[in-house]
Amino acid sequence: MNFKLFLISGFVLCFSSLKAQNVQFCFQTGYGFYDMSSAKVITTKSFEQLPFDAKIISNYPTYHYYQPMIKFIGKRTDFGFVYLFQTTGSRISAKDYSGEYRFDSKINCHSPGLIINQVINDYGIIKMGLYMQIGANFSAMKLNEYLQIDTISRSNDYKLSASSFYFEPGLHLVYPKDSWGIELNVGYYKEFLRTDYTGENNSIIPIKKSFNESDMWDGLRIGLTFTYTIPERDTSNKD
Amino acid sequence: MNLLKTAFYTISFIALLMLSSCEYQTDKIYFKEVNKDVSQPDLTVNLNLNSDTIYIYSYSTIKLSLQLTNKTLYAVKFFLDGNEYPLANYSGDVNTYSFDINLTGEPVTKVRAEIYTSTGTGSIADKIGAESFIFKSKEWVLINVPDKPVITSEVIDGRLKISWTPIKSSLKSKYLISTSYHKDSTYNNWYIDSTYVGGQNYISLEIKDNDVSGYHAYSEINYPFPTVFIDNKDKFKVCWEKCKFYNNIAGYSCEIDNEVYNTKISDTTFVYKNGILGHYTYVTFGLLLKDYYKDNSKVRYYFSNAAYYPIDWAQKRRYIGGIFYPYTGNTFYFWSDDNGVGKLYKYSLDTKTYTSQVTSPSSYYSNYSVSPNNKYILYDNSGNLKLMATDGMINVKDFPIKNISPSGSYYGSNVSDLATIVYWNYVLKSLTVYDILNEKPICNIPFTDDYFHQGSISANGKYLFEPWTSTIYKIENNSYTKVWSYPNTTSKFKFYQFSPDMQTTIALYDGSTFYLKNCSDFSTLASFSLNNNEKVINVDFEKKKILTYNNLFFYVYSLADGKLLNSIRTSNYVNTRLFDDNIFMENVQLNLNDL
Repeated sequence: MNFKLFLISGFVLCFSSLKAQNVQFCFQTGYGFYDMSSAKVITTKSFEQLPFDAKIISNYPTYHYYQPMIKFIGKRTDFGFVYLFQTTGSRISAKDYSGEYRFDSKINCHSPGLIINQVINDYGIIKMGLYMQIGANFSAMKLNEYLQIDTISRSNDYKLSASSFYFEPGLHLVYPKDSWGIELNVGYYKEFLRTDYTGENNSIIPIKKSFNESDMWDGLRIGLTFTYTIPERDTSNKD
Repeated sequence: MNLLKTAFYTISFIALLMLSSCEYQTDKIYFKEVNKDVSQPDLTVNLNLNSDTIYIYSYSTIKLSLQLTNKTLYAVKFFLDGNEYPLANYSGDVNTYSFDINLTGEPVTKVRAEIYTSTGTGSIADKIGAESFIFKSKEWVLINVPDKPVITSEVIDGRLKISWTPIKSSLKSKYLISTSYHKDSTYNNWYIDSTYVGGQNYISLEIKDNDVSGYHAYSEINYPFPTVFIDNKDKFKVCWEKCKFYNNIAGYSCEIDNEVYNTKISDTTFVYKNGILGHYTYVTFGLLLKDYYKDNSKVRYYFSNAAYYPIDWAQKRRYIGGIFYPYTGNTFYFWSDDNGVGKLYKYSLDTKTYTSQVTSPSSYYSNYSVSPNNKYILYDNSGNLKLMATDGMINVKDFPIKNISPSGSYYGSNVSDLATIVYWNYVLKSLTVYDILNEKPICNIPFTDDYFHQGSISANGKYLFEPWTSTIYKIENNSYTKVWSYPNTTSKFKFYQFSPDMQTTIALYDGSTFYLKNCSDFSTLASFSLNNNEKVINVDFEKKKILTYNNLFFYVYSLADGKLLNSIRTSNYVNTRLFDDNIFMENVQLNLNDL
């Protein structure tokens, strides 16, 4: 996480020294429909092996993602830098008078990248465009198993991480209003060249083989982007 | 521009804060209502501890078996003095748990058991075995008994009585007894064994308490079987001691030559009369059992030996070089080797004893001869002829053979009661009748043929018989006369023997007819036919009997009329003699009066 913050900060610092001209700050959020097939298998298998009655509360559901961006605005083509944060998880739960059992999973993905937009049509003030986003993924999975019987409890934690690349083609509609604007984004996120999910001491998650390269973060993403474009300064007076 | 930078940093900072606080999160839990009011375990427990206080004698095994129908069994634990004791054995199919315990050094130990079952509530704790019903047993006291039980035995009224140290127990205990031959049980600390008759007997004793007390006793007793031996000095007799356990037997059993002879319980001997003369006869002896269990055998055989049938007159003297008989009396002689020294022994049928009379290097084949009425013994001793008077066994003559035969070879006849002999004289080619006492020839009977002639001289020295020509000569006044001769046939008579009396008769047998002739005129005193192929062994003129042999049988006939008197099975006929109503065959003797 420190490394990711450092990377994000690096981007920010680099572009903070650029000359403020046609620069747009954006913040996009929405829902990611994550595939997570192999991760769901972990939940299912664990659930099936429990000797007592329990329930799968959630199993990597559709969840929020967050994506701040800095873009450089052209007449019909924009490009810029993005930082994408995705998260989801699962829970198996059982609780009664004698104790409680939980098996929680949480997976986060930090993804710095580049984005380029191309306006393909205008409908009055509303513009419709295509975009392509590409970047790197740094995924971290945390597993926690917790058992409490009467006053005695026991908790086990596991941490796994993996890295990969992604690209996301999509369509967006832009509604600008003065310096502010709002966009509707629909894209398909595709992950590739992913490494194994490895834990501490390079241990690999036992069901590694079922983690193929296209079953984790892949999926549709729908979101809204709020933009603020820094007004262009009038330099003619200086001349 | 400053405003722009300020705005940029502010937005970036807010974005980072938002990102780090927007991880996936859920607080939902699945709470299940569980009914804690469940039924009690349907548990039935059986322990092999049958009283509150138990005395432990040795290595003990405590067993717990249980039946549980409505719950799951989690654990069974034993505690000794409050400390959990490891289970030694578990048989899952019958739910039987056990552990072996050795209280050596511990005078008193308390033991209890705990059984853990599922509750059946279905709760998390129940399902993972962390919640259970506990059945706690009461506590038993185990007392170590350092003194081990001891088995003793004695013979009472013809039976075996076994006694042992009684077990310490508040309950009436049943002892299980196992011997080498059967099993039984009793509540007493003694037991009368009505099956034991002697010999090695392994006795094992235990209490039927599922091994909890560890009461075991073991003993090995061995009362010797009655001594048995074969006495064949007078008869073929099997002798034995009375069995100590006479109330446990029905009698005694002898198996001889594959025939079984059972006797009464009061008997201590058995005389066997159906044997084969000279046969080395095997005897197996045993006790007839009253009750028989384990080996399902009615007879407990324990003795086996063999002896010559029927009488071994020599008694363990196995090497007898030769036996030399007179025609009369009840004394004969035999030569035997005694630790490398040849000796001539005199044997008396009256006393059934023999005495060593003469130490002689001569072996039996050195022409021993006993005069018909037992007055002299003549023998060849390393080139010397020795004449011994049987009365006192004194040498009366000893001279070199070369004195009468220049070649040194002596082919002589029997010696008469007058110490005369007849021998083949090579130089003169004649039969020479010789007076040993006076060391002078009496007469010579010349022969013109080239055959080797021999002769037999009568007891009184007056007659001699030459078998080749079947001629009887009369010796009188230092000359001879031919009494009778069988014409045209050589070796007519396969058997010939003078009588020892003064009347002098001769017995002749030509292979089919037996003759008794008067020597003076060759008149026939008696004649009768014998079966063909019978071999006449000898004639006992005193008892007036003839001994013959044919096909593994001896036959005894009357000398008077040839009547068959006895038929006796035999194993052979080597060195056999009918003498004083006994058949002697080397070391074996059969008294005809015992038949």
